[in-house]
Amino acid sequence: MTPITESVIVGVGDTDYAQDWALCRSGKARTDAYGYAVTAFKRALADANISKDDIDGLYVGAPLAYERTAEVLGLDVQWASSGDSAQALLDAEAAIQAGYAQCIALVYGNDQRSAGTAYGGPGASYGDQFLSYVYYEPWGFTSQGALYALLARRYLTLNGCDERVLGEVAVAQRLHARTNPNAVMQAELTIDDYLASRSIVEPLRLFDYTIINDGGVVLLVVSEEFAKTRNLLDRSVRPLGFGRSDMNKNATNLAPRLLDFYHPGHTAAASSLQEQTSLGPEDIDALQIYDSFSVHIPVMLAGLGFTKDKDVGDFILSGALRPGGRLPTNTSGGHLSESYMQGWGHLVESVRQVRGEAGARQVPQARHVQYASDVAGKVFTTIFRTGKTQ
Amino acid sequence: MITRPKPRSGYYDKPFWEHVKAGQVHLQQCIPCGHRWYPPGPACPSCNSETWTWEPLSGTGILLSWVTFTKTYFPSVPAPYTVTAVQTAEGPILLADTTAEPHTLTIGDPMVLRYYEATDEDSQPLTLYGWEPSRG
Repeated sequence: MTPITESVIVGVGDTDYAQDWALCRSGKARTDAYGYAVTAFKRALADANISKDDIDGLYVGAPLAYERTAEVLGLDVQWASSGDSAQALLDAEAAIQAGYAQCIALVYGNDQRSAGTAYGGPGASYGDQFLSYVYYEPWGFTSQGALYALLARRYLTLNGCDERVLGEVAVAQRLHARTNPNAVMQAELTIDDYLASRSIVEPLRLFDYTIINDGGVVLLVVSEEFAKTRNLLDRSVRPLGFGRSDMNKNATNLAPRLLDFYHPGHTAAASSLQEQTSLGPEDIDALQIYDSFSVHIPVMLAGLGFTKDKDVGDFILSGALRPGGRLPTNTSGGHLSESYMQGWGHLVESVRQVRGEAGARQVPQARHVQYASDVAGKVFTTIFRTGKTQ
Repeated sequence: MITRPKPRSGYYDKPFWEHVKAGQVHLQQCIPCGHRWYPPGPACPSCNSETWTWEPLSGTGILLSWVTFTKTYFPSVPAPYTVTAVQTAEGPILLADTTAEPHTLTIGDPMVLRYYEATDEDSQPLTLYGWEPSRG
Protein backbone atom coordinates (compact mmCIF):
# COMPACT_ATOMS: atom_id res chain seq x y z
CA MET A 1 0.00 0.00 0.00
CA THR A 2 1.38 3.45 -0.92
CA PRO A 3 1.85 5.50 2.23
CA ILE A 4 -0.46 8.48 2.57
CA THR A 5 2.19 10.50 4.36
CA GLU A 6 4.68 12.77 2.64
CA SER A 7 7.16 13.31 5.48
CA VAL A 8 10.15 11.18 6.44
CA ILE A 9 12.57 11.36 9.34
CA VAL A 10 16.16 11.71 8.14
CA GLY A 11 18.03 12.44 11.35
CA VAL A 12 17.79 11.92 15.09
CA GLY A 13 19.85 13.19 17.98
CA ASP A 14 19.71 12.81 21.73
CA THR A 15 21.89 13.50 24.75
CA ASP A 16 23.96 11.43 27.16
CA TYR A 17 21.18 10.47 29.54
CA ALA A 18 23.25 8.35 31.91
CA GLN A 19 26.13 10.84 32.13
CA ASP A 20 23.82 13.79 32.61
CA TRP A 21 21.88 11.88 35.25
CA ALA A 22 25.08 11.38 37.25
CA LEU A 23 25.99 15.07 36.87
CA CYS A 24 22.51 16.16 37.98
CA ARG A 25 22.63 13.85 40.97
CA SER A 26 25.89 15.40 42.11
CA GLY A 27 24.47 18.92 41.67
CA LYS A 28 26.66 19.70 38.67
CA ALA A 29 24.24 19.84 35.73
CA ARG A 30 26.28 20.77 32.67
CA THR A 31 23.75 23.11 31.03
CA ASP A 32 20.11 24.22 30.95
CA ALA A 33 17.11 23.03 28.93
CA TYR A 34 18.25 24.93 25.83
CA GLY A 35 21.76 23.56 26.11
CA TYR A 36 20.52 19.97 25.95
CA ALA A 37 18.54 20.91 22.86
CA VAL A 38 21.69 22.31 21.23
CA THR A 39 23.58 19.05 21.79
CA ALA A 40 20.76 16.95 20.34
CA PHE A 41 20.35 19.37 17.43
CA LYS A 42 23.98 19.12 16.34
CA ARG A 43 23.88 15.33 16.62
CA ALA A 44 20.72 15.15 14.52
CA LEU A 45 22.25 17.33 11.78
CA ALA A 46 25.34 15.12 11.73
CA ASP A 47 23.16 12.00 11.68
CA ALA A 48 21.18 13.29 8.70
CA ASN A 49 24.20 14.82 6.98
CA ILE A 50 22.39 18.07 6.30
CA SER A 51 23.25 21.65 7.19
CA LYS A 52 21.55 24.01 9.60
CA ASP A 53 20.90 26.27 6.59
CA ASP A 54 18.62 23.60 5.13
CA ILE A 55 16.11 23.98 7.94
CA ASP A 56 13.04 26.04 7.08
CA GLY A 57 10.63 24.85 9.79
CA LEU A 58 10.82 24.49 13.57
CA TYR A 59 8.60 22.63 16.04
CA VAL A 60 9.48 23.19 19.67
CA GLY A 61 8.53 20.83 22.48
CA ALA A 62 7.51 22.15 25.91
CA PRO A 63 9.03 23.32 28.21
CA LEU A 64 11.17 25.16 25.65
CA ALA A 65 9.80 28.42 24.27
CA TYR A 66 9.74 28.68 20.49
CA GLU A 67 11.25 32.13 20.15
CA ARG A 68 14.14 31.48 22.54
CA THR A 69 14.84 28.09 20.99
CA ALA A 70 15.08 29.67 17.52
CA GLU A 71 17.36 32.34 18.92
CA VAL A 72 19.67 29.87 20.68
CA LEU A 73 19.90 27.63 17.61
CA GLY A 74 20.21 30.60 15.26
CA LEU A 75 17.26 29.60 13.10
CA ASP A 76 15.06 31.97 11.10
CA VAL A 77 12.31 29.78 9.67
CA GLN A 78 9.22 30.21 7.53
CA TRP A 79 7.01 27.83 9.56
CA ALA A 80 6.90 27.11 13.28
CA SER A 81 4.74 25.45 15.87
CA SER A 82 5.03 24.10 19.38
CA GLY A 83 3.47 21.47 21.57
CA ASP A 84 4.12 17.96 22.84
CA SER A 85 5.64 14.82 21.37
CA ALA A 86 2.18 13.51 20.44
CA GLN A 87 1.51 16.48 18.16
CA ALA A 88 4.99 16.96 16.70
CA LEU A 89 5.02 14.50 13.80
CA LEU A 90 1.42 15.33 12.90
CA ASP A 91 2.17 19.05 12.72
CA ALA A 92 5.31 18.45 10.68
CA GLU A 93 3.43 16.22 8.24
CA ALA A 94 0.68 18.82 7.89
CA ALA A 95 3.18 21.63 7.26
CA ILE A 96 4.99 19.54 4.65
CA GLN A 97 1.78 18.49 2.92
CA ALA A 98 0.67 22.11 2.81
CA GLY A 99 4.01 23.18 1.37
CA TYR A 100 4.84 25.55 4.22
CA ALA A 101 8.18 23.89 4.91
CA GLN A 102 10.27 21.04 3.59
CA CYS A 103 12.92 20.52 6.28
CA ILE A 104 11.68 20.79 9.85
CA ALA A 105 13.59 20.41 13.11
CA LEU A 106 11.55 19.01 16.02
CA VAL A 107 13.37 20.20 19.12
CA TYR A 108 12.95 19.14 22.74
CA GLY A 109 15.07 20.04 25.76
CA ASN A 110 14.34 19.74 29.46
CA ASP A 111 16.26 20.45 32.66
CA GLN A 112 13.48 19.04 34.83
CA ARG A 113 15.90 17.13 37.07
CA SER A 114 18.38 19.91 37.79
CA ALA A 115 15.65 22.56 37.91
CA GLY A 116 13.61 20.50 40.38
CA THR A 117 10.42 20.48 38.31
CA ALA A 118 7.58 19.31 40.56
CA TYR A 119 5.09 16.77 39.25
CA GLY A 120 3.19 16.76 42.54
CA GLY A 121 2.73 18.81 45.69
CA PRO A 122 2.54 22.60 45.94
CA GLY A 123 3.06 24.22 42.54
CA ALA A 124 2.83 20.99 40.55
CA SER A 125 3.59 21.42 36.85
CA TYR A 126 0.88 21.47 34.19
CA GLY A 127 -1.77 22.36 36.81
CA ASP A 128 -3.53 24.81 34.54
CA GLN A 129 -3.68 22.39 31.62
CA PHE A 130 -4.68 19.32 33.60
CA LEU A 131 -6.76 20.56 36.51
CA SER A 132 -6.95 17.12 38.09
CA TYR A 133 -3.26 17.35 39.04
CA VAL A 134 -4.04 20.20 41.43
CA TYR A 135 -7.77 20.21 42.06
CA TYR A 136 -7.80 17.79 44.97
CA GLU A 137 -5.07 19.36 47.10
CA PRO A 138 -7.34 19.95 50.16
CA TRP A 139 -7.27 16.16 50.66
CA GLY A 140 -3.55 15.91 49.96
CA PHE A 141 -4.26 14.30 46.61
CA THR A 142 -1.65 15.38 44.07
CA SER A 143 0.75 14.18 41.37
CA GLN A 144 0.44 12.41 38.09
CA GLY A 145 1.59 9.30 39.92
CA ALA A 146 -1.47 9.38 42.17
CA LEU A 147 -3.78 9.69 39.16
CA TYR A 148 -2.14 6.64 37.60
CA ALA A 149 -2.26 4.81 40.94
CA LEU A 150 -6.05 5.28 40.98
CA LEU A 151 -6.22 3.93 37.45
CA ALA A 152 -3.91 1.02 38.27
CA ARG A 153 -5.92 -0.10 41.31
CA ARG A 154 -9.17 -0.21 39.38
CA TYR A 155 -7.91 -1.53 36.05
CA LEU A 156 -5.78 -4.31 37.51
CA THR A 157 -8.39 -5.40 40.06
CA LEU A 158 -11.22 -5.54 37.53
CA ASN A 159 -9.04 -7.54 35.15
CA GLY A 160 -7.70 -10.05 37.63
CA CYS A 161 -4.10 -8.80 37.62
CA ASP A 162 -1.88 -8.80 40.68
CA GLU A 163 1.14 -6.61 41.42
CA ARG A 164 3.44 -8.92 39.48
CA VAL A 165 1.96 -7.69 36.21
CA LEU A 166 3.31 -4.18 36.75
CA GLY A 167 6.46 -5.73 38.18
CA GLU A 168 7.03 -7.64 34.95
CA VAL A 169 6.67 -4.40 32.97
CA ALA A 170 9.44 -2.84 35.05
CA VAL A 171 11.60 -5.98 34.83
CA ALA A 172 11.15 -6.38 31.06
CA GLN A 173 12.03 -2.75 30.37
CA ARG A 174 15.08 -3.00 32.59
CA LEU A 175 16.23 -6.01 30.58
CA HIS A 176 16.06 -3.85 27.46
CA ALA A 177 17.83 -0.98 29.22
CA ARG A 178 20.70 -3.24 30.22
CA THR A 179 21.62 -3.52 26.54
CA ASN A 180 21.32 0.26 25.99
CA PRO A 181 24.52 2.05 27.03
CA ASN A 182 22.65 5.36 27.16
CA ALA A 183 20.01 4.17 29.65
CA VAL A 184 20.12 5.72 33.11
CA MET A 185 19.16 2.50 34.89
CA GLN A 186 21.50 -0.38 34.06
CA ALA A 187 21.45 -2.44 37.25
CA GLU A 188 19.71 -5.79 37.27
CA LEU A 189 16.10 -5.62 38.46
CA THR A 190 14.28 -8.77 39.54
CA ILE A 191 10.64 -9.23 40.41
CA ASP A 192 11.73 -9.62 44.04
CA ASP A 193 13.54 -6.27 43.88
CA TYR A 194 10.35 -4.78 42.49
CA LEU A 195 8.12 -6.27 45.17
CA ALA A 196 10.53 -5.14 47.90
CA SER A 197 10.76 -1.55 46.63
CA ARG A 198 9.09 1.25 48.57
CA SER A 199 5.67 2.45 47.61
CA ILE A 200 5.10 6.10 46.76
CA VAL A 201 1.37 6.23 46.19
CA GLU A 202 -0.03 2.73 46.67
CA PRO A 203 -0.49 0.62 44.68
CA LEU A 204 2.44 2.14 42.73
CA ARG A 205 6.03 1.60 43.79
CA LEU A 206 9.30 3.32 43.03
CA PHE A 207 9.96 1.14 39.96
CA ASP A 208 6.54 1.97 38.50
CA TYR A 209 7.67 5.59 38.17
CA THR A 210 9.58 7.28 35.39
CA ILE A 211 13.20 8.45 35.72
CA ILE A 212 13.06 12.26 35.88
CA ASN A 213 16.18 13.43 34.08
CA ASP A 214 17.68 16.27 32.08
CA GLY A 215 18.12 15.83 28.35
CA GLY A 216 17.33 16.82 24.82
CA VAL A 217 15.97 15.16 21.69
CA VAL A 218 15.84 16.36 18.08
CA LEU A 219 14.25 14.77 15.01
CA LEU A 220 14.67 16.14 11.50
CA VAL A 221 11.57 15.66 9.37
CA VAL A 222 11.68 16.45 5.66
CA SER A 223 9.50 16.09 2.60
CA GLU A 224 9.99 12.93 0.57
CA GLU A 225 11.08 15.18 -2.31
CA PHE A 226 13.80 16.81 -0.19
CA ALA A 227 15.02 13.40 0.94
CA LYS A 228 15.16 12.16 -2.66
CA THR A 229 17.03 15.22 -3.89
CA ARG A 230 19.61 14.89 -1.12
CA ASN A 231 19.89 11.14 -1.46
CA LEU A 232 18.64 10.64 2.13
CA LEU A 233 15.77 8.28 1.42
CA ASP A 234 17.57 4.99 2.05
CA ARG A 235 18.27 5.71 5.72
CA SER A 236 15.03 7.58 6.26
CA VAL A 237 12.12 6.37 8.35
CA ARG A 238 8.54 7.13 7.48
CA PRO A 239 5.54 7.42 9.78
CA LEU A 240 2.94 5.58 7.69
CA GLY A 241 -0.09 7.32 9.16
CA PHE A 242 -1.40 8.89 12.34
CA GLY A 243 -4.14 7.86 14.74
CA ARG A 244 -5.28 10.59 17.10
CA SER A 245 -8.26 10.68 19.43
CA ASP A 246 -8.61 12.75 22.58
CA MET A 247 -10.74 12.32 25.67
CA ASN A 248 -10.99 15.68 27.39
CA LYS A 249 -14.67 15.50 28.39
CA ASN A 250 -14.89 15.06 32.18
CA ALA A 251 -11.11 14.80 32.37
CA THR A 252 -10.77 16.56 35.74
CA ASN A 253 -13.28 14.32 37.49
CA LEU A 254 -11.42 11.37 35.96
CA ALA A 255 -14.37 9.67 34.25
CA PRO A 256 -12.47 8.83 31.02
CA ARG A 257 -9.56 7.55 33.10
CA LEU A 258 -11.43 5.50 35.71
CA LEU A 259 -14.60 4.45 33.91
CA ASP A 260 -13.27 4.06 30.34
CA PHE A 261 -9.52 3.54 30.90
CA TYR A 262 -9.22 5.82 27.83
CA HIS A 263 -10.17 2.82 25.69
CA PRO A 264 -12.59 4.68 23.40
CA GLY A 265 -9.66 6.94 22.47
CA HIS A 266 -7.33 3.97 22.00
CA THR A 267 -9.84 2.20 19.80
CA ALA A 268 -10.59 5.24 17.65
CA ALA A 269 -6.91 6.08 17.14
CA ALA A 270 -5.90 2.48 16.45
CA SER A 271 -8.66 1.86 13.94
CA SER A 272 -7.95 5.13 12.16
CA LEU A 273 -4.28 4.16 11.89
CA GLN A 274 -5.24 0.72 10.62
CA GLU A 275 -7.42 2.28 7.92
CA GLN A 276 -4.56 4.54 6.83
CA THR A 277 -1.88 1.84 6.80
CA SER A 278 -3.68 -1.49 6.34
CA LEU A 279 -1.51 -2.69 9.23
CA GLY A 280 -2.78 -4.17 12.47
CA PRO A 281 -1.35 -5.53 15.72
CA GLU A 282 -0.17 -8.75 14.03
CA ASP A 283 2.13 -6.73 11.76
CA ILE A 284 4.03 -4.98 14.56
CA ASP A 285 7.58 -6.14 15.30
CA ALA A 286 8.31 -3.79 18.21
CA LEU A 287 6.22 -1.40 20.24
CA GLN A 288 7.09 1.83 22.03
CA ILE A 289 4.57 3.05 24.61
CA TYR A 290 4.66 6.34 26.52
CA ASP A 291 5.34 5.05 30.03
CA SER A 292 5.47 7.78 32.62
CA PHE A 293 4.14 4.93 34.78
CA SER A 294 4.23 1.18 34.26
CA VAL A 295 0.43 0.94 34.18
CA HIS A 296 0.34 2.67 30.80
CA ILE A 297 1.57 -0.59 29.29
CA PRO A 298 -1.26 -3.02 30.15
CA VAL A 299 -3.95 -0.41 29.53
CA MET A 300 -2.60 0.47 26.08
CA LEU A 301 -1.76 -3.10 25.08
CA ALA A 302 -5.44 -3.88 25.47
CA GLY A 303 -6.69 -0.56 24.13
CA LEU A 304 -4.65 -0.82 20.93
CA GLY A 305 -5.81 -4.38 20.30
CA PHE A 306 -2.65 -6.37 21.09
CA THR A 307 -4.63 -8.38 23.64
CA LYS A 308 -7.87 -8.09 25.61
CA ASP A 309 -8.35 -6.55 29.04
CA LYS A 310 -9.05 -9.94 30.61
CA ASP A 311 -5.94 -11.48 29.03
CA VAL A 312 -3.49 -8.63 29.53
CA GLY A 313 -2.01 -10.02 32.74
CA ASP A 314 -1.19 -13.37 31.16
CA PHE A 315 0.09 -11.63 28.04
CA ILE A 316 2.58 -9.58 30.05
CA LEU A 317 3.56 -12.38 32.45
CA SER A 318 4.35 -14.62 29.45
CA GLY A 319 7.44 -12.47 28.86
CA ALA A 320 6.07 -11.01 25.61
CA LEU A 321 7.51 -7.56 26.30
CA ARG A 322 11.07 -8.72 26.99
CA PRO A 323 14.01 -8.84 24.59
CA GLY A 324 13.26 -11.78 22.31
CA GLY A 325 9.61 -11.79 23.35
CA ARG A 326 6.80 -11.82 20.83
CA LEU A 327 6.20 -8.08 21.24
CA PRO A 328 9.39 -6.38 22.46
CA THR A 329 8.15 -3.19 24.12
CA ASN A 330 10.04 -0.05 25.08
CA THR A 331 13.23 -1.46 23.66
CA SER A 332 15.41 1.40 24.92
CA GLY A 333 14.20 0.87 28.49
CA GLY A 334 11.55 3.56 28.04
CA HIS A 335 10.78 6.23 30.59
CA LEU A 336 11.06 3.69 33.39
CA SER A 337 14.68 2.77 32.74
CA GLU A 338 16.20 4.88 29.95
CA SER A 339 15.11 8.46 30.73
CA TYR A 340 11.92 10.52 30.99
CA MET A 341 12.01 12.47 27.76
CA GLN A 342 8.23 12.87 27.57
CA GLY A 343 7.79 10.58 24.58
CA TRP A 344 10.50 12.16 22.43
CA GLY A 345 12.99 9.43 23.26
CA HIS A 346 10.49 6.79 22.14
CA LEU A 347 10.34 8.42 18.71
CA VAL A 348 14.13 8.25 18.41
CA GLU A 349 14.18 4.62 19.52
CA SER A 350 11.54 3.78 16.91
CA VAL A 351 13.72 5.33 14.20
CA ARG A 352 16.81 3.47 15.35
CA GLN A 353 15.00 0.15 15.45
CA VAL A 354 13.59 0.57 11.94
CA ARG A 355 17.02 1.57 10.63
CA GLY A 356 18.59 -1.45 12.30
CA GLU A 357 20.90 0.86 14.26
CA ALA A 358 19.89 -0.08 17.81
CA GLY A 359 23.05 -2.00 18.61
CA ALA A 360 22.83 -4.78 21.18
CA ARG A 361 19.12 -4.15 21.73
CA GLN A 362 18.21 -4.33 18.05
CA VAL A 363 15.00 -6.28 17.42
CA PRO A 364 15.63 -8.65 14.49
CA GLN A 365 13.65 -7.68 11.39
CA ALA A 366 12.05 -4.64 12.99
CA ARG A 367 10.09 -3.78 9.87
CA HIS A 368 7.14 -2.10 11.56
CA VAL A 369 7.59 -0.27 14.86
CA GLN A 370 4.54 1.28 16.48
CA TYR A 371 4.55 4.19 18.90
CA ALA A 372 1.59 5.10 21.10
CA SER A 373 0.90 7.58 23.88
CA ASP A 374 -2.24 8.39 25.86
CA VAL A 375 -1.12 11.02 28.35
CA ALA A 376 -4.12 12.47 30.16
CA GLY A 377 -6.42 10.99 27.53
CA LYS A 378 -4.74 12.41 24.43
CA VAL A 379 -4.23 9.30 22.37
CA PHE A 380 -1.69 9.33 19.55
CA THR A 381 -0.25 6.43 17.61
CA THR A 382 1.81 5.88 14.49
CA ILE A 383 3.66 3.06 12.73
CA PHE A 384 7.17 3.57 11.41
CA ARG A 385 8.73 1.77 8.44
CA THR A 386 11.78 2.45 6.32
CA GLY A 387 11.39 5.34 3.91
CA LYS A 388 13.45 3.48 1.34
CA THR A 389 11.52 2.89 -1.86
CA GLN A 390 10.01 -0.56 -1.43
CA MET B 1 -7.78 21.08 64.33
CA ILE B 2 -6.22 19.63 61.17
CA THR B 3 -4.70 21.88 58.56
CA ARG B 4 -5.14 21.38 54.81
CA PRO B 5 -4.03 23.03 51.57
CA LYS B 6 -6.49 25.61 50.26
CA PRO B 7 -8.92 24.67 47.51
CA ARG B 8 -8.65 26.36 44.11
CA SER B 9 -10.48 29.65 44.21
CA GLY B 10 -11.61 30.16 40.62
CA TYR B 11 -14.76 32.11 39.79
CA TYR B 12 -16.96 29.00 39.91
CA ASP B 13 -15.09 27.30 42.76
CA LYS B 14 -16.09 29.93 45.30
CA PRO B 15 -19.84 29.16 45.28
CA PHE B 16 -19.01 25.45 45.33
CA TRP B 17 -17.08 25.84 48.59
CA GLU B 18 -19.70 28.19 50.04
CA HIS B 19 -22.24 25.38 49.66
CA VAL B 20 -19.85 22.93 51.33
CA LYS B 21 -19.39 25.37 54.20
CA ALA B 22 -23.17 25.58 54.52
CA GLY B 23 -23.25 21.81 54.94
CA GLN B 24 -23.96 20.16 51.58
CA VAL B 25 -22.11 19.62 48.31
CA HIS B 26 -23.98 21.20 45.39
CA LEU B 27 -23.16 20.68 41.72
CA GLN B 28 -24.30 22.74 38.79
CA GLN B 29 -27.27 21.38 36.84
CA CYS B 30 -28.16 22.50 33.34
CA ILE B 31 -31.69 23.87 33.06
CA PRO B 32 -32.31 23.03 29.36
CA CYS B 33 -30.78 19.53 29.35
CA GLY B 34 -30.50 18.45 33.00
CA HIS B 35 -26.80 17.52 32.75
CA ARG B 36 -24.70 17.76 35.93
CA TRP B 37 -20.99 18.32 35.96
CA TYR B 38 -17.89 18.63 38.11
CA PRO B 39 -15.63 20.55 38.54
CA PRO B 40 -17.63 23.79 38.44
CA GLY B 41 -17.39 25.84 35.26
CA PRO B 42 -19.08 28.53 33.21
CA ALA B 43 -21.41 26.41 31.07
CA CYS B 44 -22.91 22.98 30.57
CA PRO B 45 -20.26 20.84 28.83
CA SER B 46 -23.02 18.79 27.24
CA CYS B 47 -25.14 21.49 25.52
CA ASN B 48 -23.05 24.65 26.25
CA SER B 49 -26.01 26.34 27.94
CA GLU B 50 -25.04 29.06 30.38
CA THR B 51 -28.34 28.68 32.20
CA TRP B 52 -27.95 26.44 35.24
CA THR B 53 -28.59 26.21 38.96
CA TRP B 54 -26.72 24.82 41.95
CA GLU B 55 -28.47 21.66 43.15
CA PRO B 56 -27.57 19.51 46.19
CA LEU B 57 -26.15 16.02 45.92
CA SER B 58 -27.83 13.10 47.64
CA GLY B 59 -24.46 12.34 49.24
CA THR B 60 -24.21 8.70 48.20
CA GLY B 61 -22.02 6.99 45.65
CA ILE B 62 -20.03 3.91 44.64
CA LEU B 63 -16.32 3.41 45.33
CA LEU B 64 -14.35 3.27 42.06
CA SER B 65 -10.80 3.24 43.40
CA TRP B 66 -8.50 4.50 46.14
CA VAL B 67 -4.85 5.22 46.76
CA THR B 68 -2.72 5.48 49.86
CA PHE B 69 -0.03 8.15 49.92
CA THR B 70 3.07 6.82 51.63
CA LYS B 71 5.09 9.87 50.57
CA THR B 72 4.34 13.29 52.05
CA TYR B 73 3.73 15.94 49.38
CA PHE B 74 2.31 18.72 51.56
CA PRO B 75 3.80 19.59 54.94
CA SER B 76 0.27 19.99 56.30
CA VAL B 77 -0.83 16.51 55.17
CA PRO B 78 1.56 13.91 56.57
CA ALA B 79 1.55 10.43 55.01
CA PRO B 80 0.14 7.89 55.20
CA TYR B 81 -3.38 8.85 54.15
CA THR B 82 -5.96 7.43 51.78
CA VAL B 83 -7.98 9.21 49.10
CA THR B 84 -10.98 7.65 47.37
CA ALA B 85 -12.61 8.19 43.98
CA VAL B 86 -16.37 7.79 44.23
CA GLN B 87 -18.95 8.04 41.49
CA THR B 88 -21.86 9.99 42.95
CA ALA B 89 -25.42 8.76 42.48
CA GLU B 90 -25.84 11.84 40.25
CA GLY B 91 -22.97 10.78 37.94
CA PRO B 92 -19.86 12.96 38.38
CA ILE B 93 -16.90 11.47 40.26
CA LEU B 94 -15.70 13.24 43.43
CA LEU B 95 -12.34 12.60 45.05
CA ALA B 96 -11.98 12.98 48.81
CA ASP B 97 -10.24 11.35 51.75
CA THR B 98 -11.62 8.62 53.98
CA THR B 99 -11.11 7.54 57.57
CA ALA B 100 -11.66 3.89 56.61
CA GLU B 101 -8.64 1.58 56.75
CA PRO B 102 -7.68 0.93 53.12
CA HIS B 103 -7.61 -2.86 53.58
CA THR B 104 -11.32 -2.76 54.45
CA LEU B 105 -12.26 -1.15 51.12
CA THR B 106 -13.53 -2.97 48.02
CA ILE B 107 -14.28 -1.58 44.58
CA GLY B 108 -18.05 -1.16 44.30
CA ASP B 109 -18.59 -0.39 48.00
CA PRO B 110 -21.49 1.99 48.68
CA MET B 111 -20.14 5.24 50.14
CA VAL B 112 -21.62 8.27 51.85
CA LEU B 113 -20.40 11.86 52.28
CA ARG B 114 -19.25 13.08 55.68
CA TYR B 115 -18.40 16.69 56.52
CA TYR B 116 -15.64 17.88 58.83
CA GLU B 117 -13.92 21.05 59.92
CA ALA B 118 -10.31 21.99 59.21
CA THR B 119 -8.25 25.13 58.80
CA ASP B 120 -6.34 26.18 55.73
CA GLU B 121 -2.67 27.13 55.70
CA ASP B 122 -3.60 30.71 56.63
CA SER B 123 -5.51 29.47 59.70
CA GLN B 124 -8.87 30.27 58.11
CA PRO B 125 -11.72 27.82 58.73
CA LEU B 126 -12.27 25.30 55.95
CA THR B 127 -15.15 22.83 55.78
CA LEU B 128 -14.27 19.67 53.85
CA TYR B 129 -16.05 16.52 52.87
CA GLY B 130 -14.84 12.94 52.89
CA TRP B 131 -16.19 9.60 51.74
CA GLU B 132 -17.00 6.83 54.22
CA PRO B 133 -18.31 3.31 53.64
CA SER B 134 -22.07 3.42 54.30
CA ARG B 135 -23.19 1.14 57.10
CA GLY B 136 -26.21 -1.04 56.59
